[in-house]
Amino acid sequence: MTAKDKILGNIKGLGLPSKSLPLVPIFDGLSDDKHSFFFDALGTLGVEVIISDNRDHLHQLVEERKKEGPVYSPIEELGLTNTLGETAMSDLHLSVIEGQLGVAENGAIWVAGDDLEHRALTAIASHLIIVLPYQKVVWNMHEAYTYIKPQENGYGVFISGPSKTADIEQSLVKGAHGAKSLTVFIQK
Amino acid sequence: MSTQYKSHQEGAKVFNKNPKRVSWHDKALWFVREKRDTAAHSIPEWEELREIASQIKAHTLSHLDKYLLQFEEQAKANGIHVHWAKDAKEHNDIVLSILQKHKVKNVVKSKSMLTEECGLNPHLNQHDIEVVDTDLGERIVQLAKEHPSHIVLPAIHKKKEEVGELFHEHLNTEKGATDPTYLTRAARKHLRDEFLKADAAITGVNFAVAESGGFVVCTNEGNVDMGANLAPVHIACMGIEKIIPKVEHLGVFLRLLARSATGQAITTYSSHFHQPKEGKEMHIVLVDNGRTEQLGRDDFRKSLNCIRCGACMNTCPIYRRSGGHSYTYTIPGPIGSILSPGKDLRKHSSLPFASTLCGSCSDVCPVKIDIHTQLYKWRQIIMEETNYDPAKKMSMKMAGKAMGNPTLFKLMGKVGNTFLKGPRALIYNGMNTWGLERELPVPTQTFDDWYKKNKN
Repeated sequence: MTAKDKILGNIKGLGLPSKSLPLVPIFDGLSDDKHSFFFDALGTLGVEVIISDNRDHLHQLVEERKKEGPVYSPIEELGLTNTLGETAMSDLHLSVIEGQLGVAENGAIWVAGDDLEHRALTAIASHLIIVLPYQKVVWNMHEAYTYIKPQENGYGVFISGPSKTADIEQSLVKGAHGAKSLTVFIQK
Repeated sequence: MSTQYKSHQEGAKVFNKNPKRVSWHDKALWFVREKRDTAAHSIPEWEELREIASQIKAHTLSHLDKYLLQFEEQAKANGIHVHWAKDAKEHNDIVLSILQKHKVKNVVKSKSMLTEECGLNPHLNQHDIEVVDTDLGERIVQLAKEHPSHIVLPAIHKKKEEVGELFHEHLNTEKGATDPTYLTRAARKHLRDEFLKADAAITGVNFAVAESGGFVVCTNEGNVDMGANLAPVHIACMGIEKIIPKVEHLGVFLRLLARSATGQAITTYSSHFHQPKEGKEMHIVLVDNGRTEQLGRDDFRKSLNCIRCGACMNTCPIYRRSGGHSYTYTIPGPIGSILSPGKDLRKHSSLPFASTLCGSCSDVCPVKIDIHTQLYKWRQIIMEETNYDPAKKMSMKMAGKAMGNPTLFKLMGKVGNTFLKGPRALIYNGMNTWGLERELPVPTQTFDDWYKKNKN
């Protein structure tokens, strides 16, 4: 008998009575202004927030950061898509990626694998910029999952803030394995 | 390894030899418990969410076979290889065979209590495969040749001076350096090298979704994303109880998990894996290892609701004052104490007694496991079926007789009070464990006298 047959047989053999599946409501927001709640949440997470209605600001920002070290972005208009091979990933100073959705209650931003070219871009650069359209902010996780179809992306991730750890005497340190800093560029 | 004791009492005695450390450990965990309270109180629907989560788990467990099959079918359609393991040995053999097929020498592993439970690392080491634990806390205990002492905060028992010494020895940091930022940076550099040279990554699973055939792993450090996204092979290992029916249910559990664990609204990375990247391989191992047996125990089934947040440990007055290594099971604290007797009643017989039955563990549990009730039930089974602590059995029998007889109870109360006022040597000696390490309060009246006076 295979392990699969044995496990499924064990479960069936118990003949457990069926319990019903509850409905999950989309709970109300905690504030009328989800945008300011979202920006506050990002602030608490130690994220730099830049709100701009001018796309040139993003280009300027990237140009500035190029002086600090190698920058890579799969966002075509930034003109950086062919600047990097897999081998140089480890030396990356900054990556600039697209976010699909921001969640006000916890400051998490959904990043879809299909927008990344290299999945490791979410964690491997020393610093990270996520570009997020202003109108793509929802209140909570329940609402978020009505928009997100994770199965349509081989990989996707909610990112809320720079990588961090508190494993040494509960002292919070930013930049454990992933980015040491996160900047969210909000495109109005 | 150096941290396995025969009983909880024996381990607790060792931990309690250093009262300063006990107090420090207690405070560190209570701080996390307080952060959890703030985070929980910040959302008005907290109690409703707990109830919904508990019902989703109950539903899933009542149809576990159906959901496991649905998950397998969907995962396979996504291009993920699915394996089934009935016990720890099968799990270890499956992982080993995948690694051997790919001639893997270096593995990076992200935090997984299941692989700890199965003893995966030593098994792979025996076959010349090096496994590097990449969660900082887990790397610290791995270098110290210890087990994690907490499921979310694996190195919570270690002082920064001890971490500094370990890193000086293994990672060449400056002697005497204790600054957490400096030490974390050193670990970052060392582990980046490991990530880049790894031939395979092993991760745990927080939630697997039957509907979509994918799984979610939560970390603050980003080690899962570094490992799984760089290595050509990703193996995810999960207990079969980690299944949830639908993607929308992730909203419920992700809101509860981090708030309960560390007081964060969500972990920094909540990574969703559904397909391997082109040219790479993704495997998932579904592990039973005693879970279907636990599913068959009416009184203890609900323990399979656990989402491994660790909140019950942070709040437990016994765990906080005895340390995770005093427990005889991979998962310490209240939840470990109800999961372990089902695996080996005799080996873990002391664990359900490592509780005050205050119920705080049940109060903070995000999936409403009745932990303290289950602890009480295990105690009864252990007393009946094992030869656990015959002295305790006898004294409990006598106490039961005394309490069932009002005249005897009154008499014993009076005698007890007289004794407490009498010579210290009669109370504070080896015969009376209640008098060890503490001053017993001397009552001014018996409960009976107090009740007569106050009953109106």
